[in-house]
Amino acid sequence: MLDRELKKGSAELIILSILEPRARHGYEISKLIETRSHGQLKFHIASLYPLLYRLEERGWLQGRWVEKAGQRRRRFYSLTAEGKKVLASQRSTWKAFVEAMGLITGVHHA
Amino acid sequence: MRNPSGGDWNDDLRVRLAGLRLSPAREAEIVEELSQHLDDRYEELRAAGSSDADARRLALEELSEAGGLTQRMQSLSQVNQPAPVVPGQLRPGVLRGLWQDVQYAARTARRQPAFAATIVATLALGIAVNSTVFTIVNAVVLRPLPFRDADRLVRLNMRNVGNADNSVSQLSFLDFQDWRAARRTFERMAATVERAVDLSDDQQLPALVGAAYVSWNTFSLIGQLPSAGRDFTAADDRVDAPPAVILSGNLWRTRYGADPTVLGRTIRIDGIPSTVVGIMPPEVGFPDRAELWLPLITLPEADRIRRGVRIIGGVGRLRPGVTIEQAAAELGGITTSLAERYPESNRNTAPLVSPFTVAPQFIAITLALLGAVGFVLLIACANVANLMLARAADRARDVTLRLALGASRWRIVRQLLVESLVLSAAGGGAGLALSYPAVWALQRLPQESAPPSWVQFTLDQNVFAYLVVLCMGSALVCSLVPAWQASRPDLITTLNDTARGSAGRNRRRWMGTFVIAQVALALVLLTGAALMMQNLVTQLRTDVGVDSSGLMRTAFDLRRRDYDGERRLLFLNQLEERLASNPSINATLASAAPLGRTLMMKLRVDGESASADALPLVSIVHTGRRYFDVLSTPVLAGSALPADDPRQGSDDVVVNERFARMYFQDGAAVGRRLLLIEPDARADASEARWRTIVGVVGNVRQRMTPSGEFDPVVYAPYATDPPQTMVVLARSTSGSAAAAAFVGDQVRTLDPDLPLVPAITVAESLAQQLWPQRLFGSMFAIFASIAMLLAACGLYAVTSYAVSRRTREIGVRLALGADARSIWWAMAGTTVRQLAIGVALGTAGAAAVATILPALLVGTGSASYLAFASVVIVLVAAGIIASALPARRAMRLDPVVELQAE
Repeated sequence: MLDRELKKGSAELIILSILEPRARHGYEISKLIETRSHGQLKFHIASLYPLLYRLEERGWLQGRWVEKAGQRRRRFYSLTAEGKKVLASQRSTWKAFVEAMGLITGVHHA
Repeated sequence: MRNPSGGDWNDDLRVRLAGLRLSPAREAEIVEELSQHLDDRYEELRAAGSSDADARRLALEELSEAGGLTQRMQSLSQVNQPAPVVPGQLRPGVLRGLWQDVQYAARTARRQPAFAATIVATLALGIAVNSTVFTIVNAVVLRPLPFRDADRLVRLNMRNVGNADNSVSQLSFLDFQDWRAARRTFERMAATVERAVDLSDDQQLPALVGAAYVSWNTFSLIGQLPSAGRDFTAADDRVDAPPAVILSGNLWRTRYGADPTVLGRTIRIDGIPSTVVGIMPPEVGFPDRAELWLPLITLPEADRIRRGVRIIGGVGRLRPGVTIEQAAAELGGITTSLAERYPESNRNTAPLVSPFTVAPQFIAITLALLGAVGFVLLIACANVANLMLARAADRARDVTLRLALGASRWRIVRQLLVESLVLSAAGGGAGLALSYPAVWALQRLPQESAPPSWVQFTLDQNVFAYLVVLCMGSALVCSLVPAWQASRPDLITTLNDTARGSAGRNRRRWMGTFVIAQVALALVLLTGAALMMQNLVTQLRTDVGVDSSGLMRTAFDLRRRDYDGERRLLFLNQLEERLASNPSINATLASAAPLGRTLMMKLRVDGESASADALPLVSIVHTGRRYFDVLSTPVLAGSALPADDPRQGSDDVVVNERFARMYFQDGAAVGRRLLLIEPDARADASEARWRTIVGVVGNVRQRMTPSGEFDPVVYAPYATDPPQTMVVLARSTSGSAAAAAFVGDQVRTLDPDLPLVPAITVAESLAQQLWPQRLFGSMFAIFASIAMLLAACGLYAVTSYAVSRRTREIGVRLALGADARSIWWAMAGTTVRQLAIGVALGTAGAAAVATILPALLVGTGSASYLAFASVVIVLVAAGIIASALPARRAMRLDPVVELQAE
């Protein structure tokens, strides 16, 4: 498990990245985070949804109820234009940070 | 897709969301969304092999992870939405919640009776002094006077614009008659003269009572009418009218046992049979504290025919919409023409029209008192706030738990507000109970210190409203910071351990702030009180120039006796002889006792040529032959006796040392000449005759001077101009009571119907004259003592709290070998620092008080650094003792015990 602080700082970036290709619902987001991190990261219900609601309040995400035949309606989240901008800027900040950490600590990407 | 065995998550979710106060629609949305998530998670866990129950439990557990859903949603802006308001429908939830809060507060108070009692007592003290002083402010400033259209009533006086002191005098009877022509701005004008009269009848001993001669329209002007009988009419106020008198309700009750048949009966006023025509309600004593009223025309003729005799207090009712300036302008016109017609008496006069209120100086000092008690209440509130802060630390776990269970922050704050409201309401009730006896005492101030009868100290609805505001205000002041602090605990540290984290530090910082404020406020109050007491003590210690405690004084008034000048002189001479007949009692006559009011006359010293307006006023005392003997005043130069027989009258005078030094550069006054001129006459008034100074005597004080120096006095033999009112001064080896009895006997032998004023010593009369200083000085002293006590309690409590919170730290320090002194300093050091900051801030405030107060006080010298320094020393000493006690406790802790307790 990654350090809690690190996770907290990067949580927004993770959510935004997951939603970049297309809209997804909450459970799908949590599963994707888990599988893509090979089980290193887990966003459970108690932390995921408050974060989604917060990002939605900031105007980075938009939630929409989508109904499909024969299924319950689900709430799908997609990036807004502002969300995309934030994602781009957070990504470059993160990249710079990781590179700087690499230079200092001698840890490099595989 | 619905999972049958996953069940319904609604209840689990709604419980967690309840405290967030989401809008109902949003809450339903979130419940739906999260239910789906939990369904999916449940399915996943089942698929991985968990049992039904395990899958459900694990899914639910994730709801509480990482601080829990509720906690994490707390900061979203969609929470705390106000519920929709349905018109016409109460919100039972809110009201019920409030009632629960009140009950909870009462339960808490019962569980911690000592804590609650301390808070209630502290607030009760603060509130009691405030409501008592507010009762005075209410009576003096706020409440309308009990007169009809009180805002249109004005006082009318004369201002003497000629002399430098711009002094104010009353009106002469004739001037008043002329002023009545000002019909454009005045609806009506009335006149009053207060004077003591001899009241006698066939039932009781003659008595000297305070009377008021009033113009017939006085009572209808102020709108206070007799409760029985009739008011005066214009017919009563004519020279040839049969004498009529109206009794006060008070006199009617005390002297006549409230007998209704007194109406129409004949009583004697100064020996003149007069018919009782009316009885006033008991609360009326207009213009001040009159016991009976007589028509203005019954004033002795001598007081009515000279424009120089200014004895009338004018009262006017302005026409609606007329300003005081307009009224003064109209009177100014009349006054100017009077000055042209009667330059002898009326030159350099101007009308003075002022609103009918209590003296402005009294109002100012009352407001100063209100400010002082406001400080006391603030100090009390700071103490209560500190107590609540300390307790909030103990309750941090409780509060955290409630927050974690979904209580909103406002809910926690409200709970604490309600608690302090309940406590301050109890404090207010107790405070009210305490202020009852105080107001009772105010209503029974001794005659000489009581305000006019139309100022009534009562706890009316104004006072109650103020009390309610005080309670709510102090509840708010006391609880805001504690509530704010309590509602944002540091969750992790609080739940993990006792509060030693940032919350604890914050709390201590607040407590320190309160302590600093307390010390500063207490210092300001103490300085004010010290200045007032210093002023009072200085004045009580005023050097009168004679041994004032053994010197008895009484007085009589010959004005109403049918004595002409010759008869008066004969009476005085006979009395003076009789007073000398007892070898063990040394007694004499004088027109004024030391510190008593004297005749003032304009003085022109031979050889000086000041203009008439610039002539100084000097006190004249007409004395009997043995005056300086009785007073033991040394004769410094010349002789204390006129060369001729004093009983025949003489132009010789004696002056005191101060006079000699003031007016003669070498102090050699004997043989010099001076003119004494009536104050309202012109300087070259021909009736004044030259007087020769035959002797200089030691200083005896007649009046207070701002500098504390003796005042210049001229003594003339009473035979020169036999005064109407005389004082008898006596000193006896067998006590002043024996002297008083002897004097009374001698007076009654000569005139059995002549009443004497009650005998007191000169020292007592000085104390009586100083009643405002005594009253306000002691009130300030009481308030300041309370303030200091509260501030010391505050320091004690805060140090105590710090010690109890830091026992482990102390234990570690001791175990590591810290010596006792460094422990003591660690605990008391903070308090000492706070004390120092408080004193620094308070000094600034005290400096302001020191500049304002002397303006409010009569005769205060400049602020004394000694008084201030002693105040600081007392306060700092109290503060250090208060903080040293708990610090000593810390010093003596046993490290082993303290560390094991953890």
